[in-house]
Amino acid sequence: MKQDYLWNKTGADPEIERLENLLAAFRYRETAAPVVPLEQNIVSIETEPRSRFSFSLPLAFGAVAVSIAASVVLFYSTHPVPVADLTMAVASPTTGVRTESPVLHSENFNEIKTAVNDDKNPQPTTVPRAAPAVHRVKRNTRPQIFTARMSKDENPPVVLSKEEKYAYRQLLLALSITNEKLRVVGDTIKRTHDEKDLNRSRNR
Amino acid sequence: MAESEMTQELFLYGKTAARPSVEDANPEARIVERVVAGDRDAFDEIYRGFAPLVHGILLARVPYDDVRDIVQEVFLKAFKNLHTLRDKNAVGAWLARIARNHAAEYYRHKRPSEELSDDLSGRQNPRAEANEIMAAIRTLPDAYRESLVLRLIEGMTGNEIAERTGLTPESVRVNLHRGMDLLRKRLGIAGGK
Repeated sequence: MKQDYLWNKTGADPEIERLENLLAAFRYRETAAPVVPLEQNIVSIETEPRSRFSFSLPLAFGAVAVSIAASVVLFYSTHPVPVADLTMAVASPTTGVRTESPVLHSENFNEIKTAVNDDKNPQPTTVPRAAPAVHRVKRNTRPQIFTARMSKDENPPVVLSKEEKYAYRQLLLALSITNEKLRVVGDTIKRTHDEKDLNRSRNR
Repeated sequence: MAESEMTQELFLYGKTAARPSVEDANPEARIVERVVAGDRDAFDEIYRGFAPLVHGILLARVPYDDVRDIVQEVFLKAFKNLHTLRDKNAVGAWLARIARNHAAEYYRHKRPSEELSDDLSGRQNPRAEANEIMAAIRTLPDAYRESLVLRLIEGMTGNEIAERTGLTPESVRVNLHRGMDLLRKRLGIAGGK
């Protein structure tokens, strides 16, 4: 009748009884129920506001996005790029002039023609259309955008809209940053090669 | 058959009992309705009726010294969420689930190690032997462990265990017998299969 004792305590099983006596030390001893606050009734719990976290998270994302957009707009509104007589400096890849201004090193930009008349700061700079030559770029603390002035028999320059000019400036800025990064990478590679050559020559 | 397979079989086999209809609400369901309505005495009745169950489920999983506090936490949480209980006839199974979740949560923050002693025979100190038996029970699969604790420590019969946890009596019977066989083997008691 062992199985009965284990199931419903009928009959006898000395082994199981011994285990029960030994384990009685762990048995539940009656204690008082936890004290529940009087005002915390079920009705008030049901009307609790939902988690603030779930409500504020999309709001936080929206606020962050708005603040980023506002800061970008504010930055470019307080740091205008002086666009006078837009003349683009073009240099060949081998004889490019490194300046602080966003200079493009691509011959394709020879054909980009922009002209913005700025009566306040006329700074015309002419660059040969397809001449892969070094040119002098007027140094300025602020990046300047230059365009290639075409010959007279070419088509007249295309006037860009405000958005297009902004996009163009952004593109030049991105390209200049990339250019700087590539320069750093190139210097690092060159330095590494030099060190390897030096080590080889020492080991001989 | 590997223990993991047996446990899996039991979890599949251990079907919960069919729920009675709303018209057949048992006394516990009526007590739950009173608690939801704001009757704090009814909550005390729930506590007195199910504290041994919650205590046993927690004892099967967490160290004895921490069980008492966690029992209080389980019932506090149950009180706050009792209005969400859909089937008021199954308050025992619901409390059991809360207790298991709290035991799992306990180990996310703290992982005490309880190693099984190699020498389980000839112990003179009954408390030490009880600790070793408890440690052996905790090495068993969940389904066996819980049923054995409720039976051997909390003193419930098989039918009571089935009624309070929501399992079928057949599942509880299988858990008890297979669990006992495994425990005998672990403890080196004669008669283990």
